[in-house]
Amino acid sequence: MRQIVRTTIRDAAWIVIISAVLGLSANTVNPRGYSLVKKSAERQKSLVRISALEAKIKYDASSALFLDARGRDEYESSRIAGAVSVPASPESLSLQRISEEHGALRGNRELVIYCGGSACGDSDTLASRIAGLGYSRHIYILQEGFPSWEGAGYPVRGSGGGER
Amino acid sequence: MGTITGRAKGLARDIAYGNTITLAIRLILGAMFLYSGAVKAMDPEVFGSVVARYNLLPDVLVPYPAMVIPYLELLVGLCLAAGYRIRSASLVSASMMLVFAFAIAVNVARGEAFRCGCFELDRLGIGISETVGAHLVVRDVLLMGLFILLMNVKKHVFSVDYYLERRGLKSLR
Repeated sequence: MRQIVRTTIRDAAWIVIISAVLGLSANTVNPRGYSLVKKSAERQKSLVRISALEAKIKYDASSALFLDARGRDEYESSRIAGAVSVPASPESLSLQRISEEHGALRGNRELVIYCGGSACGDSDTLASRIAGLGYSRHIYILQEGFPSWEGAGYPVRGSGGGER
Repeated sequence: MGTITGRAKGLARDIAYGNTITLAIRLILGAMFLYSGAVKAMDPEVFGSVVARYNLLPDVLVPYPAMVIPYLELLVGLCLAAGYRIRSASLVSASMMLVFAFAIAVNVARGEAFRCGCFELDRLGIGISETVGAHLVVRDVLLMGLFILLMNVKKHVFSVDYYLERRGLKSLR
């Protein structure tokens, strides 16, 4: 019995060690892998969280492109006026939209990404993906998401196409 | 009543010994890990952003679980599906479930609600919610129970372990 326990623990340790070696090795050849030196830290720094008021200042100055990271249905229903839909998931659709908006993302404007609230996570996912693809300009995340923008009475476009 | 209790006891005994039910559990859990590991391994940075959302590790340590967990899932998924080193793979899996349940529970207590990055089942579009919540803590604890069950099963049918054991016994004759 003691032998079985010992073998089980030893093999479990091997599974963990082999996974760690595989994971770290695969990361070095994965184009979407982590850059463990500097680069990742730079990407983290380039993601800045801003309030609805700060986002509105960028909006008024037309200095930012707003990206809606929510699902297509939510975007169609109500969105920041002028925002472009780039859903964070599914990943295939997200990458397709990024590639379609390639020109706009590469433009001179900064990027402001928002989703359904402060805890939705889609903004972070999309921001990470865009930063990972090498778009070097500053990426801003609307901290409290779309509800804070809408709640402040800033320009919103709804399903009827009208702005309010 | 006595017959039903007797049947339940018989079924429990069969499961503890190893039967088609334990085979199905092993294959389903193995396939689940293979799928989620493959999805995460393709894009470690996206998975890393999910790990960071849990807010349990310093930023500098976030990339490491993001790089290793997908391969851990792939390896234990492979072991479980093939039936190789099942006890050890189940021990690793049960430990992972314990860690995941703890991480989710902490964030539920903080009032957070974000996609957990668990098995990526929401990508399949079958309506399974993977947003951090108490239901995911319960799910992970139940899965941990299943892995502990697999660890204690005596004979795993259709497994490499069983084949090797039989071959070893034959060579002793």
